[in-house]
Amino acid sequence: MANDRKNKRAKKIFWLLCFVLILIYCNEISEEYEPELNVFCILNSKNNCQKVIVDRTYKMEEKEQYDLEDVQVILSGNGLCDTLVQLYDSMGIFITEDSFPIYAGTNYNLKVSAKGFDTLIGSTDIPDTFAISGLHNGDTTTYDDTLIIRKSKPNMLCSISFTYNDTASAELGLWNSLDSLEFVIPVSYILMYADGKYLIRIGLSDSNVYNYYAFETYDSLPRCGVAGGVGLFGSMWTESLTVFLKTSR
Amino acid sequence: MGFQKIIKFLIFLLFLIPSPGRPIESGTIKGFISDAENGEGLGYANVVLKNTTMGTSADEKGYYYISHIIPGEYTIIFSYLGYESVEKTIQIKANEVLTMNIELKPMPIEMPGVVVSSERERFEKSVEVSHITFTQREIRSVPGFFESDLIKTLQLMPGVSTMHDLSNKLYVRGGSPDENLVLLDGIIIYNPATHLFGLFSTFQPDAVKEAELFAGGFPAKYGDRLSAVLDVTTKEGNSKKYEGEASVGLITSKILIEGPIPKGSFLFSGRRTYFDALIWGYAHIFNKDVSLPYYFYDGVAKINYNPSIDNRFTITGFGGADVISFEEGEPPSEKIDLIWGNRGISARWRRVLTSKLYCEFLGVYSEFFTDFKYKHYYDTIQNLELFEKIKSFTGKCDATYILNEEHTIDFGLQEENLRVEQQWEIEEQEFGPPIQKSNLIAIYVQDKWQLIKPILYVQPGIRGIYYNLGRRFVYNPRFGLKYRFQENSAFNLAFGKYNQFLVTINSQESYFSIFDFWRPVDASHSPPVSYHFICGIERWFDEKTNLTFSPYYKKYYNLLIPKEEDMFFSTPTESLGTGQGYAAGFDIFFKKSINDYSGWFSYTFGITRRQLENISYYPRYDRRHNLNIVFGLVVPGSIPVFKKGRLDLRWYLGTGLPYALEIGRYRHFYYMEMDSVYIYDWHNIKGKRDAHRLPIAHRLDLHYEKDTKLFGLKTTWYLDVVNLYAQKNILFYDYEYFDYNTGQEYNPPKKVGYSIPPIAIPIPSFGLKMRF
Repeated sequence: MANDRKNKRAKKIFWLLCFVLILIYCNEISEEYEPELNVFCILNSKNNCQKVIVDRTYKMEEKEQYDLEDVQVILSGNGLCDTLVQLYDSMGIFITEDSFPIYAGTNYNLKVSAKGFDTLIGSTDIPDTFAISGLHNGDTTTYDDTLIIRKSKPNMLCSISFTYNDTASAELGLWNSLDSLEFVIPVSYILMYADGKYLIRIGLSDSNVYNYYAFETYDSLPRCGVAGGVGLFGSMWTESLTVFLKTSR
Repeated sequence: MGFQKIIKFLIFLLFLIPSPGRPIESGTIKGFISDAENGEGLGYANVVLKNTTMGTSADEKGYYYISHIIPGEYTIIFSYLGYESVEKTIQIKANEVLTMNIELKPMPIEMPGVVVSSERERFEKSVEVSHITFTQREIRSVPGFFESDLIKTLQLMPGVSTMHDLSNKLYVRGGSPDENLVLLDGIIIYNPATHLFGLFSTFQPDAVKEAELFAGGFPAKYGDRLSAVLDVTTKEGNSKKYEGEASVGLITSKILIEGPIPKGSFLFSGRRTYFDALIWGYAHIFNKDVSLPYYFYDGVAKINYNPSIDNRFTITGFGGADVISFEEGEPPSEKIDLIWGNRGISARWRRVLTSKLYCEFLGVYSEFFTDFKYKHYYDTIQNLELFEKIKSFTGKCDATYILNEEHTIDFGLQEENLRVEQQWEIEEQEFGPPIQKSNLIAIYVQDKWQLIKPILYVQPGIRGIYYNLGRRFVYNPRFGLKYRFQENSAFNLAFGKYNQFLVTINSQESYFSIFDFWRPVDASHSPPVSYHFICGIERWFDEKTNLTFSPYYKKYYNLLIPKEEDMFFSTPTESLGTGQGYAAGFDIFFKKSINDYSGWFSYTFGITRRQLENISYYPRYDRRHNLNIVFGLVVPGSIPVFKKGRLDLRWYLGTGLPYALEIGRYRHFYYMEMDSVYIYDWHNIKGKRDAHRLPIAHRLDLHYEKDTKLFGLKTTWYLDVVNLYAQKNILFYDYEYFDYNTGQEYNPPKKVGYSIPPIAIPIPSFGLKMRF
């Protein structure tokens, strides 16, 4: 009888232990996401006024609406400092109040704050100037020609856009090798419409812009030139020229 | 030098084993016990000398040996569960070896329920733990998607889990599929689950005689994998008469032919899908523009030749491929071909050298290849070909030496040459990385020691391995113990160290990978290693009812894991990170058979953890609870139509797999310079890779089969219904930002769960088999 009781007790303890063990490992790890500020700004040498988009990230189950309060955006660099103003009814587009030119090779900073969010700090180094050869303003060109971009420092992202006869436009992003100072682009590659007038704009960007687009993944948040939030604070140096394409003999 | 030392040490160990004094004037009897209908060896059959205490049991190949018999006349009895016993009178002479090969006839009435198997005999005589043997009947009784499948059946076993309903990969006790050694008559199968994008395995159930799964703690004979061994043996072929079986299913048709040849037997089995042909015919007859440019095929051929009692030759050839081939354009201007498959051949020579020593010499060639071709008929510069092949040549000798009644020594030598070839043809230029080669030499010895017969068995063993890349020598000690504390109850224990010298460069956590890309471990990496600690209790309540309980713990070091979680393919092995991990848990397996009813219950509790570069996580295949209930019965005669048929039901339940929930979202902006406008798309923010668990998955499947006569031929028709109650088992979640039909925007986005197959409906399939 005593043995029977012992056996029964041992069985109960055994099953209880199993049950506890199973329960321990049924729980999920709790995970809560706290939204952050999300900014997007590419300072551009061709613009007198600079623009910054201020947004925020959202929890997945949260309804998206522009609800940022007390937003302050300060852009500074090269002796200039400007508190940006929000465009009316723009849902987060801020522009510099005064002319805010940028200079090649210098550093600019961004500070964005909003009620209930951590302050976002950004920094960008404006790319160096570059020279265009092979084609010059007003040239007549054919598909056999090439456009050569000569950089003073290795820049990583080259963006080329063109407007055809003041109407149709197209934009190309070209990835240049990291250490190359010369970038040769066949005309046939960039001018893809019929014969006519082309306004070509060439922009070289800093590493922040490169990282924002080159390492665009769905698994990690982009923090390109920013801290305390997500997004991009980068810059681009732009040159433009007008050429006439003539392919027919 | 280290290698030579180990060999010397092993030889020294052999001499240490005590050898009792040999009695003067005694005789010996030996031979093989086989099935009288098909000539296949009956492993663990019993041999007893009547009215004496002398007797033995055959080994797994049916070989028996009794020595030290005092000369005289005896009655010898051969018996095996489910077979008619045979009694013979023998005359034993002094200093002579009597060879007697015996064939046992199966019982005339097939026992219903679980088919006769050698499990009880294994319980009494085998030391191996976590070892399950499957017969063909058991494989065929499990409901399958369109047809029964060996790996689908194995997924019902304790310790084995899968990632989703269609997956044919084996995750054994927290090990990933690339940690399993899969053999078909000794041929290494590098990608066993490749047919129909993973839906079918390469094994044809009709050609399989037996499948052994070592879920851990496997003996010294096996090596070069970290987790488990699946050793599949094909049927020997009927050595008595010609017969065959043709079967037609919903998507495949099969044929199996077997029969005698002079002093031997042969078997051929082939299978092919025919959906492509049916659709091609339909398109031509009704002038429709439809096609299914996909099919798969495979075949196994085996020849046994027994020139003498002591010699047996077996050759097995195996091959199969999946083919996707189609043309584009009108008239066709481009052609795309994708073909992948396994191939191999093994030649085995079993030689009884002396009555105490027999050897098996094995030569094996195995390969797996993938070949993608794009051909442009007019612009050949656009042609493209990507080709990859892994192939290995293995030479092996396994020997068994029966030292005395207490000690049976298994020892052997293995040499394996491996080559990975890649060839790319782009713009009419051929190039590719250099061929990767490796060479592995292994030597092992293992003693099955009946310390206190029949109560305590121990099985110490050691496997020494030399690997040429990095000139590494490793040794893998193995140990097994069985203590039968009651006649029907035993305690098991196993320990072992396991190395692997071949790794995959694609993620083993992918839901959809069809095949693995293998690479030899290069000199810059230490080979992955695992340690198994397994114990267990096994109890037999009667001859058809048993229960096993087996806790396990596996520790991993030097694991080579793709650094990026979702990486499908990472070409250089440099992209693999070094990690470690463990797997722990326990299995419960209960199997019972009463008259017309049979079934089993298997439950596994498991925790799998991996660590890669200081980040610890639960891999995506870490299923905490896994439950399978299989129940079969012979349908009572009172039920019309289905009476006398056999019905099998399988219910499965598994708790959710870990996954990364998308916890937030943000706008990813683009600035269109020419138009001075900003555009954006939504990007989701992924949480921790293992922070959440998918919902519990469960499913009920049904298999019914009935024997009948058709055109005078014995015919079996079967019906499978998978997912009987239309359960949707979620495999992953996605967020939709708008309705694809109406374009209406969702704010917040809508969480949608996806399953495989995408629509949760019962999936029926049927077919028939005719024996001739």
